[in-house]
Amino acid sequence: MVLLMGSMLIFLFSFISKRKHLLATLLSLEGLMLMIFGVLFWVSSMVSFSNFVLIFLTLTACEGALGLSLLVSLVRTHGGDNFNSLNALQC
Amino acid sequence: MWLSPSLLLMIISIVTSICLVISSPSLFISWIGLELNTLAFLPLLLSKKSKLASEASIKYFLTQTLASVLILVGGLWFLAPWGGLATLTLLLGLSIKLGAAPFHSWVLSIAEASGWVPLFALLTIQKINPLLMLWMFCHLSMPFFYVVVLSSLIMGGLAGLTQTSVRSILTFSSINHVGWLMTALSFSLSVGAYYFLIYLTTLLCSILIFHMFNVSHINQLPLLSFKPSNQMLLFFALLSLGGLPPFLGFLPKWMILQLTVSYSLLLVGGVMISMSLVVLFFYLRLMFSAFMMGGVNLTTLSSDPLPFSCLLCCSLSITGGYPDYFL
Repeated sequence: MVLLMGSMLIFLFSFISKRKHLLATLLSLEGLMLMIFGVLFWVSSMVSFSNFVLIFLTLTACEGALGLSLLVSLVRTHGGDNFNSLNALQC
Repeated sequence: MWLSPSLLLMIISIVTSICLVISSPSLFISWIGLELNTLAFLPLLLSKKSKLASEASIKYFLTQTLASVLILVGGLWFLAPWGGLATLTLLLGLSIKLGAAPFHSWVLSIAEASGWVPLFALLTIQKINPLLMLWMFCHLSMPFFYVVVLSSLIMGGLAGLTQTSVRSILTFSSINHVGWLMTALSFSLSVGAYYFLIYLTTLLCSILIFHMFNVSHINQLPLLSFKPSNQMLLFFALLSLGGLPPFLGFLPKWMILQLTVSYSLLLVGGVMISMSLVVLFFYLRLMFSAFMMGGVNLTTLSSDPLPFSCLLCCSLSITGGYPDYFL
């Protein structure tokens, strides 16, 4: 359990950090969701709700697919998934 | 365009997500509603298919998934020995979803890139789900809630002073309104719902006028039209959004100020009043450039009368619905 929490924090840190490619960010998002899936499964074996884990897994897969389709649209408009090329929007 | 089957599916999904969050028995089911909301809003951002739109959709996706993860982890930590961190993480996730300061920088980027209809949905409809969860789980007695409300009010007011793009001005005014909305929800749901509905009406009025005239920058306002009635309409719509009496936008602000003072939350009340002045100033500055071209003889632009829907909404916002009996 502590291992799962620690890995979750590691993946969270990896998701937040400054990167060169969008694909690495999406990979760490998937890892984060996997760790949360583990924690949810552990917790739901102690408490009695266990149907949510499956729904959570479905939503994680949907989100991963959405992230990848956004990556594809980014590659189509910008020619690559580098974060350096996202310079059209300046705050 | 907005009734094409794919976009209609997305709009129905967003309405379904709101119904899911309203009627959910637990935090996890409302989390499903939040995820559905994010998933369904992204195609609305991408409806223009430009370089800016794909950048904006990536930024929206990354921030919203981070916020969803934080909300879920916060919900899980309620069962853990370190339960005090749970509400903090939950409130952190919900503030990122709302675009409340100090987590507001993503809203500005996305607002610059999108058309008027996705901007309206981003600033109002996407806020319904996180605000509902905020009402269910968080209260003004938490110190972090206080920090978020005060910084939203201050950042929304002061950072809007440096902006010249109309979309940025509306975004910062929305960040300011998020501070008011969070305070309203910590009193009761009906007060928050009342403020939200009136905010939606006044913002719709302003965005309709900007959309009709296709204005995106302060520079374009002198070319608005040479009928003073159109300029006055925009002026009153913006003042209603800012909360000046006797317009509609004043009523919910009055209600919240009265509740704030009666519960002795004087710091929040004081900051609200002073930041309202700052917000009204940058609306006024927007209209100065529109009114300044009075005496110049340019070639006359054709000025079509405004469509009926625009006038209906403006009469609702400016006079509280009284001329609706006559229109």
